[in-house]
Amino acid sequence: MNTDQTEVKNLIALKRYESPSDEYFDEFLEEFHQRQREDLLKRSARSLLMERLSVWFKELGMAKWAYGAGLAYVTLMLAFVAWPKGDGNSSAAGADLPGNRTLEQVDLEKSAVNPKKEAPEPDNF
Amino acid sequence: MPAENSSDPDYEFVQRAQDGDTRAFDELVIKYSRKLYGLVYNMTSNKEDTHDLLQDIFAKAYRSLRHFRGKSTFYTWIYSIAVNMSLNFLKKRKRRSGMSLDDVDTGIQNDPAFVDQGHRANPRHQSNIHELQKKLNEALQALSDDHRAVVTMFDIQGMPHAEISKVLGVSEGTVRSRLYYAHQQLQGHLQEFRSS
Repeated sequence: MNTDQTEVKNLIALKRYESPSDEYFDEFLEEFHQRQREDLLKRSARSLLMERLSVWFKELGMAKWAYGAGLAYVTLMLAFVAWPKGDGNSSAAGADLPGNRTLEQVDLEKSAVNPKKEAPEPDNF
Repeated sequence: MPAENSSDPDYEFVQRAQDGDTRAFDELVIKYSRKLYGLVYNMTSNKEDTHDLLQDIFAKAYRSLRHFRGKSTFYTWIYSIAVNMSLNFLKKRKRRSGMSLDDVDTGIQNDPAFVDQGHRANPRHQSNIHELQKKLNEALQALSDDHRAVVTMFDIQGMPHAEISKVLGVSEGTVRSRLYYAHQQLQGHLQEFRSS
């Protein structure tokens, strides 16, 4: 290595003496603790719940598959039972009609009993 | 899963910290905050940025500690976090404002250790320590971020090439070549402060 490079290295090495005091590092640690506490408070309840769930799930080991399968089965069954049968609109509309008749059937029956009078054709046109 | 590298001098603290012992992590913070401060400060040349970044680095290390498997030493691991976060910070800072060299810190001209060493290293310019420190910071900031990282770890922090290559994830040859080019560049910037 030539002397120029050695000199440059010696100059740059001076920067290792730039360091804050010990008090700075004591305060740094205190601030680190404070930031950790604030961070913990800031984290939403949802993220904490998710974290706890994931930890709980991890700790379950092999049993988690059984729990998982059971949970999936229960969810599917609940969805199957709770899901409305057929088309949502027609079943709702026909729910109060006697004899499970549709609105169209009722209209047809009404028109048969009371046929509407059609407007008379004008003679003079 | 706890770390497995029992040859790591920090093995015990790391294991205890992974088991939730916050005091053990405090010991690691105390042990490495000074070294990492030097790394981050010489990368950023700004004290406020260094302080905030260093807090973020330890917070990140704390959160990620459970993923640390001990494939490297804790020292190499936390240095890698610090270098990566510093490089990302510098990229963002450049995009944000384009930092002026006027923002570079020159506040330690009264540091007795620096002044004393400055006189010994540079007898021709004994009266101009402030100027020397300013020039040193400017010369470092003139380097690319990758070159500055290598110079900081090798010339300022005295890390061996092999350790730097592990931290940066590059070959030792790359570390040596970056050092060579960085030194060439620094020679030009520090011409006036060289005694010959």
